[in-house]
This record gives sequence, structure tokens and C-alpha cells, in this order.
Amino acid sequence: MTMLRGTLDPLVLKTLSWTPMHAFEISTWIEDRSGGRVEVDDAALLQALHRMEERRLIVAEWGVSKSGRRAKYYRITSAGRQQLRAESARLLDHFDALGRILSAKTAK
Amino acid sequence: MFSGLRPGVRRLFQLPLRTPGDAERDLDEELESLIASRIEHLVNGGMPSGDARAEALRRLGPSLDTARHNLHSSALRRERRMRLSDLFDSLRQDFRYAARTLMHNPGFAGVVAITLALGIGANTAIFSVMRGVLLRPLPNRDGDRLLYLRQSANGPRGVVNTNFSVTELRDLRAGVPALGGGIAGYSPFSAVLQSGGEATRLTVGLVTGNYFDVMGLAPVRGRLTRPSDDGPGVPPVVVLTNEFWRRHFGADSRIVGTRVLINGQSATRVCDPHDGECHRCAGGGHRH
Repeated sequence: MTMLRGTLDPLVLKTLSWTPMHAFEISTWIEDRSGGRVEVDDAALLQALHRMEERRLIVAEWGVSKSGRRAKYYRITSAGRQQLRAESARLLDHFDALGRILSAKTAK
Repeated sequence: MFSGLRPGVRRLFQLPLRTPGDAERDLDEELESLIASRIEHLVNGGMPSGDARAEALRRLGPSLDTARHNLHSSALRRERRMRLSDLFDSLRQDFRYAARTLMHNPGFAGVVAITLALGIGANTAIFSVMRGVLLRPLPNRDGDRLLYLRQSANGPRGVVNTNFSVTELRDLRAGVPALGGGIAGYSPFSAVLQSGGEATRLTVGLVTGNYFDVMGLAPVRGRLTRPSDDGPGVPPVVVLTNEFWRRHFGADSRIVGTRVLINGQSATRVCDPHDGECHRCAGGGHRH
């Protein structure tokens, strides 16, 4: 399933709202949580992370992963949480509206 | 260009601590880490390592090189924008701090303001004078062919850098026929102009009749002085500068031909030149 434009950022923020993660963990988390239906493009993910770091929605820090490898961990900021709340509300409302239209029973 | 400098030196000159090379190396390492993590995950899940690597690379888009190239640009842009916003933030903080400090010390703020005002005022005054005296071109025709002559005489009662007298001027003109018409005299003195019940102190220039011709000026109203206005027994005439005319008489054309008193001597106002100083013709009966 291709990612709809503008949905990757809020998904990443939501993922990071649980705990700091590095890029691979974020990608896997989203995939698992969506039941395998959403496959994240890794390059797009890294670009999204750069964008959000620029806007101070997340901060980056090098650390050591569970398997002992050096990895760049991202952490959400309070500005990021605010942005997440706003974007989530907007998107959910949007999809609810679409859902109503699309799931309405068509006339036979 | 700055990548060869040590961190201490970079900090001293306020250069960015991370070079573009740093950002790119950073990105490469993150990419490596990501690919390695994915391969490990897939292999643990039972996939053969060759396939795992292929899958990991597939997730990066059509080609690893394009992905790396795009990510480099993205990383550099991020660095640049973050540095800029840091700069603005610290600038804003500095301004707020300065404003707070000044508000808490109004005396100090007052002294600062006065010092700045004096400095700026003095500089402006000096540059204005410089502009008027040195930089502005003369309004005269052929301004670069105009010579200003003064004389000095040695001896027990020697004088330095002084005017020529009327007779000396006459001799000069007679003695150098080639320039005869082109030598004019100008002597400034301070006088009181009385006109229409008002008295104003101003600088008056005593000039020969051909002054305006030599200077290449043209009148706005009325006429300029002529050689016929020279000599004793001829009624003296006054020429006003444009600026003086506007300031004191509101550019009123009717003043041409009216009479004024300069230091008690009557003179007819004849005209207003395009620009220059305030003038009066050499007439009769004065000390020059």
C-alpha cells in the first residue's frame, strides 16, 4: 500500500510519542501496527525525519541499539507533541468524512 | 573550506561546529546502520543473507546511489536551516536581554542615547558640509574651467591669501586683454538687508558687473548684473540667490524692481539667479 501524501509525518510522530527510536525501529513499528498493510519507504522516512528535525518537532542523538550497533535515535519534543495532536485530529476527521461517503450503501 | 580547522579555532570564530562533510558522514553511517539492522532482522526471520540484502536495498527506492545523493542534499539543507534558525533565536534573545537591561537602567539608557545622538549628529553635519563644499559640482557653466585667484605680498606688512582691490582688478583686466572679459570680482561681507519693514543679517557678495557672465549663471526672474552696472555714479543693484528668494520672499515675482536697504544704502533688486550666493553690484560710494 502506498503512503498517502502528508500522512508519513504524523505517523512517525505518533510512533515516537511512545518512546525514542531509530529509523529502522520506526519503520518496523509502523509496519507491525498496521498489520503489514503499510510499508514505509526507508528513503522517504529519513527525509521526513530530516524535515521534522529542522522544524524542531524531534531531536536526534546517537546511541547504541539493542543489538549493540551504533544508531541515531530520534525523540519527540513538546512542539512535536502539539503538532501531533493537531495533525491527528485533522487527519482522523478527514478520513472519517471520506469513510462515511465511501461506506454508505449504494442503491442496488 | 573550513573543514581543516580544529574545533577550538572554529568555536573562536563562530564557525559552524559541524562541517558539511560531517553531516554527510553522519548520514552515511545512519544509512549503513539502517540497512544492517534490516538485514539482521530478515536473517533472524529465516531469510538467506543474499536475499535479505537485496530486500534491504529495495526498501531504499530504485537505486542506492540516488537515495544517498538525495539524502545528502536533504541533510545539508537541514543543517543550513537549523543553523539559521539558531542564529535568529540567539539574536532575538540578545535583543530581549538588551531591552530588559536598558529598561532597568534608564539613566544608562539615556547616556547611551545622548552619546549616539551626538555622534550621529556630528558625523551628519560634517558630511553635509563636505558634500556641499567638495562633492557637489558647481552649478556654473564650465565649472572645471573656473579659477579662483587670491594674492599674497611679502614684506614688513605682508598679507597672505587676500582679495584684489577694485583698481587692481581693473588693471588686471586691462593688462590681460585675452581674459579681459573673463575676470570678475567677488568680495563677501556681512550686511543687514532692510526690506518691507523687515531687517535680516546676511552675507552679501560685492561683485563686478560681469560676475554672472563669467560664472555662467542665468536668472530666474528679472536680469543679472551687467558691466554697465559698474562704476561710481551708477545706481547699485541687488541680485538674490534662489534660496534666499524662496525662503524670505516666498518666490514672489513682484519684488523685481523694488528697493531695499543694505547697510543703509539703497539698492534696486533686479533679479534672482538660478543658484549661487547673494550678490550686489559694485556701485559707487563705499569703502572697497
